[in-house]
Amino acid sequence: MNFKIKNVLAVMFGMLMLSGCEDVATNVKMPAAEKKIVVQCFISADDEQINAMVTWSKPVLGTTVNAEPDVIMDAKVEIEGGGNKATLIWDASSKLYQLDSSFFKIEAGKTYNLSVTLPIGKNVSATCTVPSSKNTSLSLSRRDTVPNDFGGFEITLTFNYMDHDGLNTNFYRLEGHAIYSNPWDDPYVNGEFKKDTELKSSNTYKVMYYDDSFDKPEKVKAWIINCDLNYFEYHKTLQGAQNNMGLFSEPSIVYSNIKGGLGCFGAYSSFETEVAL
Amino acid sequence: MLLHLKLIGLLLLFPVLSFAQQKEKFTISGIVQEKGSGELLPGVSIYLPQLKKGTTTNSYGFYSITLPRDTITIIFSYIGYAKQTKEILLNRNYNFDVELVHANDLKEVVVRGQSNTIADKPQMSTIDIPIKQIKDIPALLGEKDVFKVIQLLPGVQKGTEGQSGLYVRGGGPDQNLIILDDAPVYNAQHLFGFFSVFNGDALKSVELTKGGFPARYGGRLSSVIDMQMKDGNKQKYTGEFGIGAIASRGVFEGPIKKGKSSFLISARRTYFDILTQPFIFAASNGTTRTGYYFYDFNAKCNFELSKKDRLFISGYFGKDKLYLKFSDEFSNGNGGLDKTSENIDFHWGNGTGTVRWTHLINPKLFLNTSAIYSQYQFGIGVESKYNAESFKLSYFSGIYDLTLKSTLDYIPNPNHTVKTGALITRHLFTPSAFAIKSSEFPIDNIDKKKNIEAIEGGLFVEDIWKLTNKINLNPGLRFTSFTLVEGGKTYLNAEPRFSGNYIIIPRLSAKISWATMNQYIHLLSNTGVGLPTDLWVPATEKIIPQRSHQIAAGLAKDFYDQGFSLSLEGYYKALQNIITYKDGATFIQVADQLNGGNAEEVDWQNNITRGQGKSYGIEVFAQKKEGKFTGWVGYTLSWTKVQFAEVNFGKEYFPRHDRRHDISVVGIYEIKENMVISATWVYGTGNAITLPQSEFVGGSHIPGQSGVGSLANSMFNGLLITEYGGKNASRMAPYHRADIGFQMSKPKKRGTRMWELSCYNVYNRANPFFYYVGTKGYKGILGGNFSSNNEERELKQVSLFRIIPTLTYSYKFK
Repeated sequence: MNFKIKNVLAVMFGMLMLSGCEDVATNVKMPAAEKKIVVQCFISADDEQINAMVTWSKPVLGTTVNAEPDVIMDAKVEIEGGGNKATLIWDASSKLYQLDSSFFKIEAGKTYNLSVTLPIGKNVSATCTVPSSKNTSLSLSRRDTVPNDFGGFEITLTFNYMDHDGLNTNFYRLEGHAIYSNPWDDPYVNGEFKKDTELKSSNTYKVMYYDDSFDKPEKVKAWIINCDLNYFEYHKTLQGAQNNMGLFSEPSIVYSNIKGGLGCFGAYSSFETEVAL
Repeated sequence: MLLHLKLIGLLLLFPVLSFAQQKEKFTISGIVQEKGSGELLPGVSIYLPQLKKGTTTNSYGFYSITLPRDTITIIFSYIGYAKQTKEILLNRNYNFDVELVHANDLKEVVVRGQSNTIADKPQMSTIDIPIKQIKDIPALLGEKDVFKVIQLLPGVQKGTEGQSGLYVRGGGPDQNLIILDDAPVYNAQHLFGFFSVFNGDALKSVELTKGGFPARYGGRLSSVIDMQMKDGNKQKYTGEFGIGAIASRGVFEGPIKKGKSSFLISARRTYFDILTQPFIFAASNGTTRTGYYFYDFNAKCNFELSKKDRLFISGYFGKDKLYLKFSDEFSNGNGGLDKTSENIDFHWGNGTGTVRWTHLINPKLFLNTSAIYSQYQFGIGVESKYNAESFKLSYFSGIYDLTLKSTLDYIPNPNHTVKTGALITRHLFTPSAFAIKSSEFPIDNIDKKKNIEAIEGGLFVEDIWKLTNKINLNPGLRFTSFTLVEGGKTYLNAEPRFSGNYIIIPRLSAKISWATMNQYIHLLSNTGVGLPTDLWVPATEKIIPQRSHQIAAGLAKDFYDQGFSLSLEGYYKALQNIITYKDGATFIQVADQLNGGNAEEVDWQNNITRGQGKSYGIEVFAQKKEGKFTGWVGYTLSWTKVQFAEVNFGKEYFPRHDRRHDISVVGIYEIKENMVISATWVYGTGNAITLPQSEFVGGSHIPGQSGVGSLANSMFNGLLITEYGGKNASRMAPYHRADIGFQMSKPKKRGTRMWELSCYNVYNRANPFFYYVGTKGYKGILGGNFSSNNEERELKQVSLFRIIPTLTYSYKFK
């Protein structure tokens, strides 16, 4: 009997070694992963130019990682709205499709359609509406300055703003950049996205700097961007994708309003203010 | 609504009114217990063949029948026990206690009971799981697990491979009311969800209710898992111990005062930390100790204070701990020694305590009053020291409940069993407490704790009503309330319940049920795998209570002679106000905000989005509870969809646990008296998951830069964005697995010893646990095998449990 149990234990140990493993996935049902046209274009009545970025997406599986965009150079990119229609011109230096506002004026409150057609016949399109007004309520006030643990100071600024038309249909992006006196320092960026229904009257923004003239921020620039749903969701989900915690959170899905493709055609109006530190 | 309430009130008052008109009746009442141990037996069928009427014992083994003066025949039957038939001349009130003989003590094991039938009962969507079957079914690593058996029932989906989380008719794991001796249990899982906390040795009964909820239950949307601990043997000391692959367990029970009071204690502990620690300690040159363990402990005492009064005291305590201790010292180059140490631990656990007093007011009125305590705690502790410098961080979350509950069973005649009661619970939530103590940077010290206190109340009445010989009804009404102490926000809800059956022909009935449920506490989880980091949060002014409406209809058929039953049920469930994290929000963000930062910080409730869901499907369940061959076949065809305002851009999607087809086959065959062979096979459509499809460079607008600047910048510095083809648009490979078990017992001088050889996943199926994108030709996600430049990528599947044989030894004392 003892001999038998020993044999059983030996077999069991061997089988345990087979447990837990990794394989190439099979029998997984997935939507067909195909190369899609990606369009990104954000329009504003204040901009001097309309710019559109047109690239290919690349299936993840069966390919290598490559952060270089696969730019599409032979597309026909057309914008239409307000009774006008124009074609954006390919610019090889910026790798964008461009059109000066003197040829096609973007106007507040109007709806525009963007279409991209390739010589191979593929076509994608999207529509967006430019916000009818600009929120100019933003102001900055300095709240407190406290020493930090690193021999510098922590300045807290308050962004004061309000929903400007009370219609509960606005989407906002708020952003602040600490601009340093040293031109080599990148701006310290902080931002968030708010629907007017969840807007509070003020927002606290912290800027930290060392007590060292080399690193001290010179000023803080701030923007309130009144945008359409497409601009809002796209940028908000883009930020979510950047902050994704990987295995411990669900994948962040980036918004798209491009019919038949990916990316975003959105509109905004921006107001800027600043405070010296 | 008011008219509905009046009608329900009239329905419920009917037994009282009808009883007032009847005369010259006598009551026979008593308790039914197991012969030998004195264990009270709930759910025993008491049948009156002349009248074709019957009742069942309540949770405390109590029954009561009131009839006109006559000579009556009463049949007491219970699965696994010998049937008893009594003839009584009913000319006065009788107290008649019954002792049923367990099948193990019988020479001929032919035990059939009316209690096995399902067609006669108005209740639907309810399944009793015999503890014997839980012990006979093969289990992962030999650890018998109630929840793993419940996962084999139709209408219940499992989560990820090996996990014990339950998704009942489309609901989440937090929507199950798990009660152990009346005490709710939160996060009932060990080892990150691979085992449930319930030790089968200590349990007497397990009942799952998926729909048509009787009014006595409330507080959760999707299911009730009602478990009762054994009372303990009143006649003699007995025990059992078992040695398994990962844990050992033991149970000991016996009389405190013979025939009058008894106790039971049971304990279980894993030991891989004890086995592996010496090797880790030696391999690290004596600097590191690390390990993981869990244990649980059940205890119960019961006292027969008088013929009419009994007192039950029961408790459960369990804990999981994952720890790492490191300490070292080394020369600092100045002739001295620098000392460094690191202590990290994760711990979580449940505790419950119940004191119950049952009192027989008169032979028709049975009172049960309980004081119940339940808690769940999760904590992380980190302590670092370097010479005199120290840093300490602790994070903690928990929930504490204290409940007072009183229920009254009123049994005026065989046509009515009225149950009514009230309960009040004080919840104390500590969603998150955070403390940092640093000797070097005292300015960074934090000590934040925010408690949320709430009072939940419930009031219910229901009647199990035999309207005619063909129609049985179970109408009920439950009123619930939830008040947040701070701010005083109160929610009040009425929850009408109804279930009924119509006996088409003997042993075949059509059933229908409807239930409205409210849930005032929520579980926030964004991992989907039941980690202890999931947070329990209360309904607040912004986060309103969850609510469900469920309607179900079906057919139930008993093949009485074969001890076999078959049911077919269809259901539709609507879920309202369910919550989840908004896209991109995480436990850490919310936990941080729950600390209650200054008023200007973002409210944690803003990271949560509210939505709705629906689930519908059909379930087929064929079960054989008696005979040498027992088991069941279950099939579920279902659809579950959810929709949240701020997830998936407001579009409806399939949650991860949606499975189109789910099949389970369970067979247990008693070859000889001391030999049992068992097997299970399960199949399920793959879980809905989000998998990467394609990538592109994400151009964006940068404030302060007009279009060209922004997009040109993105062209060179843009983020590589992954496209997923939609939320949960992909499906994992189907899940299937077979397990087998073989038990062999042998009587010994002082008891019975048993060897059990079981094999999990006998045909070595690689079921997916998760997927990731890795480099072609390489293996091992932990080895840093994330895709890198210039190498082709492919989808990898990680499987957890392939074929796992286990040998378990146990010994049961006489």
